[in-house]
Amino acid sequence: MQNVNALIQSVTVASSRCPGVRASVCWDRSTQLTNWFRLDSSTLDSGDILTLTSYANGVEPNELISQMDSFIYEDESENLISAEGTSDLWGDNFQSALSEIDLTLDNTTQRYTPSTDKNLIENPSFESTNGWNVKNTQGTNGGYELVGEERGIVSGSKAILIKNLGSGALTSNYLYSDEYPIVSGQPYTTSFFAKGTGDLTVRAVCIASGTFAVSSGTSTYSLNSGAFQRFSVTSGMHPWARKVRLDFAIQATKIAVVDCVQFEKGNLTGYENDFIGDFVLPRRPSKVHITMLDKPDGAGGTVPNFVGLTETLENQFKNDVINIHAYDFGTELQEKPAVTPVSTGAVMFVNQRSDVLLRHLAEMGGLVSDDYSFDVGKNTVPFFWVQEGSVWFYMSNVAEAEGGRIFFDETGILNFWNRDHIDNNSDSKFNFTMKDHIADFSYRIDKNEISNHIIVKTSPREVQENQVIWTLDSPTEIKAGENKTFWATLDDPITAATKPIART
Amino acid sequence: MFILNGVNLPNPNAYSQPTEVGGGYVTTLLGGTRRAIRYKKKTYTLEWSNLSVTDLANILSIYNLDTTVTFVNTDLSVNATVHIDVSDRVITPGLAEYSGQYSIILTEV
Repeated sequence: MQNVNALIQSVTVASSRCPGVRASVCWDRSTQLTNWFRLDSSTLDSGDILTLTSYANGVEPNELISQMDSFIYEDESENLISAEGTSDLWGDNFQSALSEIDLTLDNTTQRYTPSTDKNLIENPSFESTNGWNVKNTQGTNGGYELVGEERGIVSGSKAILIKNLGSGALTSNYLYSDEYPIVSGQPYTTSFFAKGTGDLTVRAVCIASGTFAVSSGTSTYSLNSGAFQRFSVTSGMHPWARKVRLDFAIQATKIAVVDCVQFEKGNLTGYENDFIGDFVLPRRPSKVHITMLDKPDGAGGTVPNFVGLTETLENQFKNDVINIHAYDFGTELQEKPAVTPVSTGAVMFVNQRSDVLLRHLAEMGGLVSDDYSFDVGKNTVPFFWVQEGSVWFYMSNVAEAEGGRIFFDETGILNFWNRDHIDNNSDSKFNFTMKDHIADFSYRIDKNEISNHIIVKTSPREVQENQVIWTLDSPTEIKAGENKTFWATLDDPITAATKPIART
Repeated sequence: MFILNGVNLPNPNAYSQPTEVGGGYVTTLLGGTRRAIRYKKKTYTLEWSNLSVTDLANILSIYNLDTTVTFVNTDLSVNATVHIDVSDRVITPGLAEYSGQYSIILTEV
């Protein structure tokens, strides 16, 4: 249960308030190394639509994603159309809870559509100087340098600063790209972010063969020294042109900062705001917050609502939306097999409290101590061993035996409530009234929900004196110096095994 | 003065700028009224009884940019980025050649 601060409480129950949702995703982190198929917008009109590619940005195969606050998130709230989440209790004793959420995001800018091979420019966002050159005839008064700018989706990304502090003109000082093949006679669109002082001139220079070159026309933009602006121009390529290069020249005595250059075939009226289409993948850390303000842009705050991983991402081209389904880590642990770690040296845990067993299971699932918060268990399990089940399966069983509950909360922390948790935490967080807060109220009494006859079947076990637990079907000859490995499948679990000794 | 994407428009015969409120009212069991206000945005409607061919061409050239543009109403201190929707043109026989009724709806982004 979260403790919500007094300001948000007061805003939430005010007569007039502004509720909202904030959704953020860490797009640039993946965890599973595998192959997958991607729909590439640049191949929609010709050739293969599905492209087999390797999963980008692998970190560690099969890594469980934890420590959610350590990721860098991109706020997607501006594109959010709707968010609908559910948390369901599971099990006969409601011993576990799973949460999931569906997000619908606007994709009219094609922000979430992969666009590999659409942009013809190498190194379009200037993370290095590859693919770019400078003509500089005025020494230290001209030239270019890479600078850190808060543009781009990854913190720490770079842009390029072009300076022309002398009197050089377009013909003597400019930044220019390498040459790239084009289709002659076709329109191409150049777009880019820029800020700075003075006027920035851009031209696409068509190259036929050798040194023959002709400009497809220049465009000049007056720059703003504050925020980046996006500029876009479409120009027809010369009928003889086979290649093209882009020139950027800043007015004499001025500077310009340029980022995210895009040069693509077609007469485009829009542009792709940021290049994240390639990062729209499953198993990306996601967070959703509820925001509650007293008025738009007023006082209030946010409350965590969901933390999990993206599961399915459905890009609907006709509607220009993308639907994202995300699940919490309980679902992730359902796919994680429970395997007793070798480091514990135990194949069976004897007389362990619920929370101790859950801690062992959490470590089997790859969680670290910062990822969970457990009540002290009231139940001691005489014998506990894992066998062909997921981590979440055994966690649910331990919680059921306790009469407690296991779940990931709204902040992504794994919680265990013991059987007395609700009784011991029954103090009121807030008093709702029918006058001020409750819009409807009903309850139901149902004979099908009353049980007066309960049968409990148990399989009691106790530790026996040394027993034969496995015997080889038939004798096997082992020659001197030879090693042989035998695999034993046991009918019953064991607490410890005696090492076999030859001829005994 | 009305300015659309830097182009001066003739004064309309009718002008309105209603505010749309995103959100709704909830009535509690004992009659309390609560209201959620998620956003507010304006829609600007300009109507002309007789719009000249030149002014119509100016508006359509802006409309055909297929992008959002800036709308300024200096009298009411409006300066907004808007989407454009245009009406069908209604020509009244007997009036100046090809001038007619016309309206545009500008919706804040």
